[in-house]
Amino acid sequence: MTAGGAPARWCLAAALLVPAGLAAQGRAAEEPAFSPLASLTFDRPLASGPDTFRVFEQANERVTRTRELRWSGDYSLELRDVRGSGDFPELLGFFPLRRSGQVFVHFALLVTDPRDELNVALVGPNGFRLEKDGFAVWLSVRDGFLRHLSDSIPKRLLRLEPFTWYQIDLLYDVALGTYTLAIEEEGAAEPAVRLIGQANAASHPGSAVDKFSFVGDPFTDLSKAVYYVDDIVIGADEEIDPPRLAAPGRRRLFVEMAVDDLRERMAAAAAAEPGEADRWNGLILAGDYALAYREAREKAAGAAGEAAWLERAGDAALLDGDASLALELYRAAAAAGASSSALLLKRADAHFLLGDLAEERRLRERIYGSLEPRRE
Amino acid sequence: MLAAAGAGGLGHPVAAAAQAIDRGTLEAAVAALDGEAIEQIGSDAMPVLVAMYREAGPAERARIATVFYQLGWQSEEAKEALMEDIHTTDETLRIQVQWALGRVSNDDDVVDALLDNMRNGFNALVRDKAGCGLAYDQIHLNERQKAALYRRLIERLEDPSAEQRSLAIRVLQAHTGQTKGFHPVTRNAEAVARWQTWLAEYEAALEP
Repeated sequence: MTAGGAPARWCLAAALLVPAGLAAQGRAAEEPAFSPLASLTFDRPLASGPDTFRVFEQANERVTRTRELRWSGDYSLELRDVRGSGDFPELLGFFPLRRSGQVFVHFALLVTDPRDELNVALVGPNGFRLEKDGFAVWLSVRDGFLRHLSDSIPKRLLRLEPFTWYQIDLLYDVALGTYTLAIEEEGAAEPAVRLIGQANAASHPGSAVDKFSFVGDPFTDLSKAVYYVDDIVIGADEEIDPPRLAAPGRRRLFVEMAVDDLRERMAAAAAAEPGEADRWNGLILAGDYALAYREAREKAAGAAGEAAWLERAGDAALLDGDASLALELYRAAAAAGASSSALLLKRADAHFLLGDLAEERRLRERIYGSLEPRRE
Repeated sequence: MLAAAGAGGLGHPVAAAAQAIDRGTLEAAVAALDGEAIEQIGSDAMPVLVAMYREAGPAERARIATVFYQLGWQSEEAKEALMEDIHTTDETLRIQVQWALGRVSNDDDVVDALLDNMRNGFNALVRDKAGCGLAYDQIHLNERQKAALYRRLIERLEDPSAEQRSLAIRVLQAHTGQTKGFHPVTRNAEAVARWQTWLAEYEAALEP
C-alpha cells in the first residue's frame, strides 16, 4: 500500500479535470468546488438505508469492511464474488438525483486477479439499462483489462496489475452526457488514462444519475473476483444542502416515505371510486391521525384483513408520535400474519424513536445489509 | 444489477455431480418448466434433455426448448436439435426454438438462421420473435461476433421492407440503447451514415 491518501490525489486529479473553457477564462488555477453527495471511506461503521447504500451478498459472498488492504485510513471495502453461487455481491449506493450540472466521482480500486470480472457503474433512476437515465458510466474488469462502455462501444482503458491501487476520477456532465476520466496507477508519475469528452454509456445527453454500484459478475456467475474499494467520494458542482438524516441511513422515517408514496399513488388514482382503504389513506394524507387510528382499530377488530388494519393503526400511531403504541400494533400485525419488508422498516422506525438503536439497526440491516463482518 | 443490460441467464453449466440422471426427474422439471431444478442436476442433464427433445412431439419440444432457454448453457447437441426445427411450421415451437438458440450457442449459423427467419418467417409474429431472439438472447456472442451482427442489421436499415427496417432498428436499440435518430418510416440517410460511422469505431475498438 502506498502512504498518502485520496484527498491530495483527488485535488491533483480534479486539477486535471478542469474543463478547457475555464482555463480560457483565466480560472486555470482554481479547482472546481464540489458539494458532497456521498462519501464512503469505510473508516467508521456506516449505516445502510435508502439514502445511503444497500449491500447484497449471498452465502459465501462478502461485501465487508476490512483492514486487510486499504488505500487510506484504517479500512477499505472488500467485495468477494463466488463462482457458481447463483448471485453476485454488490454495494449499491444512493445519492440525491442529479439532472443537471456536473457530477464528480472518485474512488480507489485494487483487484487481486485482473482476469476476474467486476463492474462499476454510475446510473440513473431507470437503473441498469442502456437507455436515457439508465447507465451513465460503466467500467468493467475482465481478462486482465479495465474497460469502459462509451457510445455503446466497449473500449480497453488499461491492463491492470494485481494488488495495485488505482485512483479513478471521473467528471460527468449530465447535460452533455459526456465524461472526463483520469486514472492513476499507484507509484506511477503520469496518469495511466486521461480521456476527455467521452460519450456516456449509450450516448444519451441529459441522462440523470442517482446511484453507483460495485458488483462482481452479474451475467454469467463465472467470476471469483476478490477486490477492494476505498475512498468513494461523489460530489456535485453546485451547492447542495447535505442530507439531514432523520434516522440512520435515511432522511425521513420509512413511514413518512410511505406517506409520500401514498400521496403519489392517490393522486394518480384520483378518479377511482374510493374504497375503505382509500378513505383511510385520505385521513392519513389529511393529517387526521387520531381518527385514522380509531378507524383502523375498529376495522382490525373485524375478521377480514386484521393484520393489514393493525399495521395501519400502527402507522397512524407512529405518525401521531406514539412510537410505543405503534410498536405494539406492528408486533400484533406480525403475529396476525403481516410480514412485509415495509413492516420491518416501520418497526425499525419505532425502535429508533424509542432510542433502541441496536434493535433499529438489526431490523434495518435485515433489508439493507451491513458492511460489518458477519458472525459465523 | 445490470440484469436488463442485454445479457442474462445462468451462463454456464454447474459442475456436474457424478450421478445417474433420473429421466423422471427431468420430465417433471420440464413439465413444470423448472430450469432451476435442472440446474441443480448439472450439465449431465443436457444429453438426456436432447434425447427427450428428439423423441417428443411439437408441444413437448417447445417446453424443452423453453428449458434450454432458462438454462442458458452452451451445448452443441442442443443447438443441433433445435436447428432441425428452425423452419418448423408449428408456430409455438418455432418461436421457442428461435428464443432458445442464442442461449445454447454462439455459432455464426445460429445468427444466420435467425436473420433469415426475421426476413422469411411464415408470418409477422414469427418474424418479430426472430428479431426478439437476436435482440435479447444472443448471450454467448463475443464482441467480434456482435460487430458482425450489427453490420448486417445496419445494412438492413436500408431494406426496401419497412418491417425489416423496423425490426433491424429495434434489435440495434436493444443491444446499444440507441437509435441514432433512425426511423423506419422516414429512412433518413444521415442516421444510417451515423450507424455506419459508429460501426467503424466499434470495429476499430475490437480487441485482437
